[in-house]
Amino acid sequence: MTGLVRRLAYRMLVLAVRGRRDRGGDWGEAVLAEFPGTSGGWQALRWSVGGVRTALRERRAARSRAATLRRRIAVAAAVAVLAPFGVQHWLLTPVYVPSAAMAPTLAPGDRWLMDRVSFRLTGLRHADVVAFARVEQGRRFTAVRRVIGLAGDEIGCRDGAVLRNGAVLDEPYLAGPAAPAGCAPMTVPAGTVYVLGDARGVAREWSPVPLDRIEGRLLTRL
Amino acid sequence: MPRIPHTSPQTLRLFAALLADPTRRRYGYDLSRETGLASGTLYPILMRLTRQRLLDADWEASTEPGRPPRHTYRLTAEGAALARERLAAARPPRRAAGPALATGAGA
Repeated sequence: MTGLVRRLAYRMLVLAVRGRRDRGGDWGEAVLAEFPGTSGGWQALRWSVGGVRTALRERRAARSRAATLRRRIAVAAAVAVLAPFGVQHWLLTPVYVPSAAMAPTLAPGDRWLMDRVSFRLTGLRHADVVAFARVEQGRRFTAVRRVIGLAGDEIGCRDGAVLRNGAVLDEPYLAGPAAPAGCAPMTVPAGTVYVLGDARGVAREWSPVPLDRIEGRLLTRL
Repeated sequence: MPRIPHTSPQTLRLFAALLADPTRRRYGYDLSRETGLASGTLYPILMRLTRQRLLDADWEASTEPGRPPRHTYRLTAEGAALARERLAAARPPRRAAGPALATGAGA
């Protein structure tokens, strides 16, 4: 174990000091030359970590001002190019509305901006419009629906309206009937949400949907 | 008040170790052991002192076979004078915030 730690510590130091060259800077080489004096794994590792810092500092001191500036510009340019991909992947993603299930709120083919993060921090709320992944016959696609019930809510239907915990929902976003086809009463299980399309009776329904399938919350049309 | 250079507890500990025998050329690892400074603290100080010609750094062929040459350090005349001055100034803690040699924090 100690031998392995010492070997790894030495390799790390050599890499930091020399990189792909045969010989590194004087100071890095100086730390390297003292490495055999260390004893034990822990001491060797400490020596190497300090040596890496020394080598980095030496390299930085050796670079000219122009080289430092060039490097900064290159890093800034790389960040500027790559950051939008990161944003799109983890924070905000455009989503195509795949069907008429959310009519009239969402028209099929429209693009909406999806927020992938905030619902993980604040939780979902009633009436949020969410996108989630469905897998059917081995094919994965994205569905968009509205959150009607959260875990623990009792969802049901009466007289063509949707009930949540016994109260009729006020749903100003609907154009047609409120009750979905085949409305079975249900208490929303933990770890899931109950969702419906705004086009009740037209949209296929899959509730309850596991929370870990939710990809994000739709914010605004693009 | 502008900061006076070469007054940090770490630098003072290094000065004390180098002044113990000012004419002897010292190895980095031995200095690290004597001062209790980690390599990442010690070597940047050595680099700075050498750049300012307070320290004389040189390579010395190793006596052990198969071992690469080792870097050695010795205070220059100027460096030794400055080191004595700094240590003398630090010993009697005239200012409340003056760095005391014995209480230098571990690196």
